[in-house]
Amino acid sequence: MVFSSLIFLLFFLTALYVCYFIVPRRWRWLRNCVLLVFSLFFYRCGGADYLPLLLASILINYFGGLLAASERPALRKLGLWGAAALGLGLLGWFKYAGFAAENLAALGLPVEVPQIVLPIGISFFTFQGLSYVIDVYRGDARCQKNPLYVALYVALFPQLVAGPIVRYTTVEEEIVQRNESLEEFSQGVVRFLFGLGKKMLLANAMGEIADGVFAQSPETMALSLAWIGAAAYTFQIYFDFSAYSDMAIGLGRMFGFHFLENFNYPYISKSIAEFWRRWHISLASWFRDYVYIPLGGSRCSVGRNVRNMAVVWLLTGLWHGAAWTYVAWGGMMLVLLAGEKYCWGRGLSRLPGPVQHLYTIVLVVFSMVMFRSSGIGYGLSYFRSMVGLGGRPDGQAVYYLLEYWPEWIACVLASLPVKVWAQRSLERREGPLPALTLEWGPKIAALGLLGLSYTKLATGSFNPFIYFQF
Amino acid sequence: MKPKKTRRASDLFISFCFLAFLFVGMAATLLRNSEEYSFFENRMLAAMPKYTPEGDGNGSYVNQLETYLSDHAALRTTLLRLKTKADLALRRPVVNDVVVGDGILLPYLPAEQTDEADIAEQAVFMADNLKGISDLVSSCGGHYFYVHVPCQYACYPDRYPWFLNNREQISQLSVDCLTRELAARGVNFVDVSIDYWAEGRPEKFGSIGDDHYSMYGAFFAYQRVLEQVVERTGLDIPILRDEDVNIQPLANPYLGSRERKLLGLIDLEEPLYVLHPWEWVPFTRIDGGEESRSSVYALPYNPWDQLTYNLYMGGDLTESFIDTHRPELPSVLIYGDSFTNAMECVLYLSFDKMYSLDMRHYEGMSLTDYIQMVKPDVVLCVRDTYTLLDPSDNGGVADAGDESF
Repeated sequence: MVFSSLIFLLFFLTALYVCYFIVPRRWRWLRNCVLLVFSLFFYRCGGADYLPLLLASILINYFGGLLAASERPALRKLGLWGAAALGLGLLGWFKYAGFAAENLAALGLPVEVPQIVLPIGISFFTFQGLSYVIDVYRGDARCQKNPLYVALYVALFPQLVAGPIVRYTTVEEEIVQRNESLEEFSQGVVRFLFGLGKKMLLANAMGEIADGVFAQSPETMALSLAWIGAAAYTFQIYFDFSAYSDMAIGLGRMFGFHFLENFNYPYISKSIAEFWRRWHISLASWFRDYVYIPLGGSRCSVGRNVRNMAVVWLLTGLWHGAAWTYVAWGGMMLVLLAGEKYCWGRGLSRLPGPVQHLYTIVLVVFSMVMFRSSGIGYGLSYFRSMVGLGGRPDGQAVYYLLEYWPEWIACVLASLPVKVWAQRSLERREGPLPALTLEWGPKIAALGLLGLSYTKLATGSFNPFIYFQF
Repeated sequence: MKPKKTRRASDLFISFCFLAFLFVGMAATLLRNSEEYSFFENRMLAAMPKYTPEGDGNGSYVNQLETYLSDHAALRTTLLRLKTKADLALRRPVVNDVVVGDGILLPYLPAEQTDEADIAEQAVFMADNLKGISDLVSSCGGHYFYVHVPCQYACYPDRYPWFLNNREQISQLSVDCLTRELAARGVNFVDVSIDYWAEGRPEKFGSIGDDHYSMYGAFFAYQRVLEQVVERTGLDIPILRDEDVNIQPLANPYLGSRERKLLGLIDLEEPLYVLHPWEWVPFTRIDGGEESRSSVYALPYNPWDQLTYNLYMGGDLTESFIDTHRPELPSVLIYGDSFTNAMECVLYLSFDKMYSLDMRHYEGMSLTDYIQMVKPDVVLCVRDTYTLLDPSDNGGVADAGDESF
């Protein structure tokens, strides 16, 4: 079940509202139980066969946390490494066993490739649960003795299957005590509807273009079409994933949770390093705090620092998927980030702002091509087309521009902090009209987006979420 | 209003509207009369999925449920109309897979590479397949003809915007390859498109709002096909000439398949024509084994009723049989996709018995068995440009491996 579906909106959410808000606020434990039951049901809708896996992950992290909080160092270590081994072991089996076996078989070893279906959201809830155990081990978070609360933290439906990766410390207090209010609810609704609109109106339209272009052979692809396809996918992945984060944050808000932001207009970055401070913030900070810094971070020799970065980007690539294209994409990011840090970063910062923006967005678009490609060979051929070594123009680029012109314009505008600019501009003005616009504008716009999104839901069938595959 | 009050009012407003939308939407979806068919999309709507433990286990049950809900969402047709209207207003070149041209609606053809080797291979496969059917017909004492009629995009390739695919190269290549392969195997092939071109591609032969040819186009195709049949077989078949028939437009509004896809929001005011011979030929008609009205047109009851291409022969019927009770004339079996329908409205006039099959839907027996059963003097397979090399359904591939060939 995805957020942008009728079954979620009209049935799951309505039933949850009734069951949740009918319980008096003072019976917090019961409200939490309602949330947990609905969260487990939400996950079950993606396939009942995978529910035991989620329950196992909850148990692993619950007991891991208990042990990690022990006063005996040996038990603490057992809790940490045990939870890490079991959690990552499950992730490794379900996500990487097939990939590993394929590669061993390709090397000529007598290995049978297992047919394993990737359970929805396993990368997200594994990392989320692991962060809890590590934080408890480090003393950054208190151990939660109530299994219900650990279960709710790991399985809370808004962020369960596609993030953001919420740290336990972010919601620790709110699980036990939070304040649901009309203001919070309405803000959550607005945020959710903006996310729904982004997904239904922008991400899906860009997805249609990207799917159409990437289904073609890159050898004969014209330069213009290659760029249209790459730009469309760059928009799609941003609006798809940030939309899901918006919806997750909005849903959390409705029930009194405050998740941290996951995106901050990444396409206005002036460098790749800045891009990664604005893109999938929860994942980048997870790797920073739990892998990069423990390895030594940047307070070490250049060689060691590059090694640390290499480990992080190899893992980041593999986290996104068990394929060599993701490893190559991680490798590209490593080269760019290390290059900015040790080679051209200083020179880049002296260039005019528009050049820095251009540098960043062009490289991001190139990297997204590898991310989207079905294989490294396909990605390299696509790069050739992007530099004009492909085929001749055949009008397709013009078609995709004319057919989706409203969406292209909206994508460009929505990638920029137009909302922030408008807000600031209105706040500077005095009088009742700017104040009314500030108050009512987003809400009216959100309702408009709801209408348009429902129209798309009722009339279209193109609705896959990209980040579910991770 | 004070800021705090304004905020509360706006918070209440958005929360109320959102919740009202969810609850009313749920109630409307649950209470809605379930429809099975979407007229404008010309397809069956998704049926309520059946629960299975397997589907529940892998999540496919919920996916099917979502498809069902999407198909049966409250206000769906109204929203489809609004969306189509908006897309037309935004001047998108393609709306609902229809290329919105200047005074014409054409099918959207996704971009594709012309793979000459692949087309040649398909033509060889198809020709081998048709050779088998042709031999079977000959063994039953009949004559087999494979007929190509141009579909809409092949009639108007120059009406596409320059940046859209019109398949002109692929169409030409397909016809050329098949012509060569069928000639090499001695299978009769009638390419009506050549005659269309020779006549200067008259606009009246095609349709500006539908995939099929007009009655003028169907009549022209009928004449060219029978001329070839007579020439190659020597059979004595009367062929109606222009002066033998009266082709007239019906006053009813016509909703072509492209107009239909646009929910009738663009009306090209194209009429649908009926053909009547000056000399009346009485006949009996049997559809699917049951006798039906002695007419080849499904005429509307009222002058304001909307017409579709189903006017001809009542649409894509699985099996039809027309007997004109003139044993001195030969018999014909015609099979193919819906392009046969309009042609059948005149074809029966030249034969004693006309059998008609649509192998996409007919499940009574195989084409082989049917031919052996009725032993027609002439067998016509009518395919349009799009399906010319398609061996499935009316391409007869199911029979290709039959030992009787």
